[in-house]
Amino acid sequence: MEILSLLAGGFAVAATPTNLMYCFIGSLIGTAIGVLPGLGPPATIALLLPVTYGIPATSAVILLAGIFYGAMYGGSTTSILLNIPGEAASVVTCLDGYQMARQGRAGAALAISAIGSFLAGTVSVIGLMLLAPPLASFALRFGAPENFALLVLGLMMVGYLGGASMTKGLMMALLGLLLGMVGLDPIMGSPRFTYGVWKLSEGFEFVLVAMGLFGIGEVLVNVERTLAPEVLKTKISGLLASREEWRAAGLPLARGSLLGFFVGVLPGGGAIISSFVSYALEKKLSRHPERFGKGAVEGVAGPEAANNAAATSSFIPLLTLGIPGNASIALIFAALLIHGIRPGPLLVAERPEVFWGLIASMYIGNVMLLVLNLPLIGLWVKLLEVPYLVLAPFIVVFVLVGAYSINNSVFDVGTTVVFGALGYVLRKFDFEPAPLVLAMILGPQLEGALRRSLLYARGDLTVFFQRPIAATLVALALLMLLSPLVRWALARKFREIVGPVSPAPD
Amino acid sequence: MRRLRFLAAVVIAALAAAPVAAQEFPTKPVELVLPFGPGGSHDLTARAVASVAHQYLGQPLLVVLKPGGGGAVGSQHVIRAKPDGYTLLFGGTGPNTVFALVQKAPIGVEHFTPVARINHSPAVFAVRHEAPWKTLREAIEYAKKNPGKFSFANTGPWGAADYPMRLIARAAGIDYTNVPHDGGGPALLAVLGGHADATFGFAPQLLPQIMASKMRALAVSGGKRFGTLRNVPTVKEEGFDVNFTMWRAVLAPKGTPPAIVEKLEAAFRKMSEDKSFQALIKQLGDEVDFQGAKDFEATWRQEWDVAAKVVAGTPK
Repeated sequence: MEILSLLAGGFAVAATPTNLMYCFIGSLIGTAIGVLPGLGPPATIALLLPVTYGIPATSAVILLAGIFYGAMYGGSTTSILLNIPGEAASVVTCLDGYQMARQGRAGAALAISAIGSFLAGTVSVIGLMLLAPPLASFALRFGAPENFALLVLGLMMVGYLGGASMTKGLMMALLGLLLGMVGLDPIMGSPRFTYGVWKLSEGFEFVLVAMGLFGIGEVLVNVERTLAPEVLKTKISGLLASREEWRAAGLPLARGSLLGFFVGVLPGGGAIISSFVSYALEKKLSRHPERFGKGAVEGVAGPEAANNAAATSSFIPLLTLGIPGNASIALIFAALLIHGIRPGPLLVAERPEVFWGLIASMYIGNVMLLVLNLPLIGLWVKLLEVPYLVLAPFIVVFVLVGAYSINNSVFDVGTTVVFGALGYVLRKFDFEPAPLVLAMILGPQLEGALRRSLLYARGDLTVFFQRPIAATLVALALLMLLSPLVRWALARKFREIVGPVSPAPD
Repeated sequence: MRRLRFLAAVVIAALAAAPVAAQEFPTKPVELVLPFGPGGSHDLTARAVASVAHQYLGQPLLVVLKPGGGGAVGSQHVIRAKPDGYTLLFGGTGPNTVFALVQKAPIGVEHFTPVARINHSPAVFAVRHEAPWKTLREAIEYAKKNPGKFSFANTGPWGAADYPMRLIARAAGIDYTNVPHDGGGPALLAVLGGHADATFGFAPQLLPQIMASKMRALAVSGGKRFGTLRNVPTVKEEGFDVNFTMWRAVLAPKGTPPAIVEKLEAAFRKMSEDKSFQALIKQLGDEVDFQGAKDFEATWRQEWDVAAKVVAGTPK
């Protein structure tokens, strides 16, 4: 009951007219930058940081946090409408979200992602409120070997994103791992594949690669196809999702929320991993896995719920340990510092009004985002009624300006164009770029975790089997790897006993 | 040869233009290029400077982020800019000494005209609260007796934790397990979770851990004791001849006219004395420690020479 009175105190802080206004402004800006490609939440929060010097600490955090989780809502919009992932966590949303849009179900996809985000965000805030301290100590037990095992498990699931052909998916993942090698070696700091170009020494920036491969690549393919008129006739049937679609989305939403919440606590790429693990999980559980990649509702609902839940739970390491888990949270940490608050193990006890005010504002913010985003759906869907030949140049400009805005760099624009060309080629040969992008992000993390584990263990490979969490994750990965083999062996055994099975009558 | 001639031409042209330009300078906003992404201590310090700049400079100071290439991209942008005082770099130890030497990037001490150092932060050597060592000396003795057993989590190869630890290891002659992490947060988590024995961090991140008795600070890497950690000795007091701080300084392209450098130096000095600026820096957990162009150049050259030896791996 104590928690309820604390939460009530939080609401008293968050529900003052000024704080409500900051919460609304944060959510609004967040949605806007989520929709615009390029400028991401960290850059926006940095821009607005000086503005928060003059306002009370709690208001500042409410505003900045609103931008962060608001962007998670907005990020899926361009994925669904234009096949441009706004941030890493919405790459997976492109797979089925964009296909739904092409089948005239853009409204449904947007509605499911908005309401899914709302539900997942709310579940995650409740979890944050009830479970933060124990989860934080769990996260501390994640050393390098545990991270490595989790990443192995995650990368194995990347193959599921490859559409019809797993082989092609794995080929793309391999290419992604290679591209991820570009830059400074994570352990020694020696340059690899940079060819003396300083710009490359931090590797390829994810947003540029994704906007090129997905955004520009898609435009090139479509412009070519538009010559044959009937292909892009998008008929919009029904603005919101149908009853069947909601039924299909329900369980994936629940599973995605839980998955995102737990994986998001881990520092690093929690939101990204949770989004595609959720996708792989839904595909595996589905009775019709062949629909995935062709506009399956579950393929939007699960990952969207997961990445929003993860965004919220990534506040846990900051609020309980004082350690920011990603770039945006690091800036919120800085904002707190400037206001004389040191986030850390003592925050909840010393400054309860900040902690509970933030939590309450997250409840409020999620409602605001829902109210803000649902009416926008109609507007977004209208956008698709614009003839593609008119829309296409705008998309290209939009993407290139976005690319420039990240670092004010022409080199970045060039990178986007080159990856755009690659995206076009890949699409021509029916390769799905999602595994490439995800492997590119996870590759360096995987390498770092492996080499770190071996450094700590002084070269002892058994470290992955001696630690309970790592061993469990490795066992799961092995099980996944071997499951086709086991199934095949069982089937053979079965035939031996029963005798040849006659083919089912047609 | 061609470069020299080019440089000479630039210097002559700049000198010729100087008297007129310096009197009026600045007539338009001055750009302070940051070779990093948003949110780090460098960014926050630069924004604190910019927030008070207008009244002392007569023009706004615009913070421009040009991240990438370990700081090489932003640094080179300024090196190539017109040396007219309107494009300045907010440089630091990371890119302009250590990265410049390790990656042989042409962004080091020879490539800039220093204007002013705003401040510098020492790194704090910290262990988990449960660790047996009460002093840095004890920890290093343990490492000496058990070669390779003492594990150190750094924040990235040659970063702000790795470099001072290399200095100590070199001074003490120890063999330790050096594990790079992806930034300060993960390195701190590795120590908190008991996966690593120690790390170097900055005061703002470590203070909450120290106050909550999760971590213990054993030493600070600077030449003197630091801010809120007055009871923590310096590495030197502990018997290791090491002095390391991460500085943040305004650097101009080579060939900037001396009159303009002087004018900028004076303006930055006044900014560093501004009350509201000092309050902001204090909130960030740092101290303002201004150094003018001449003094800072000497400091930087000294640091550069030590770092060059460490990077080359030559014994002390």
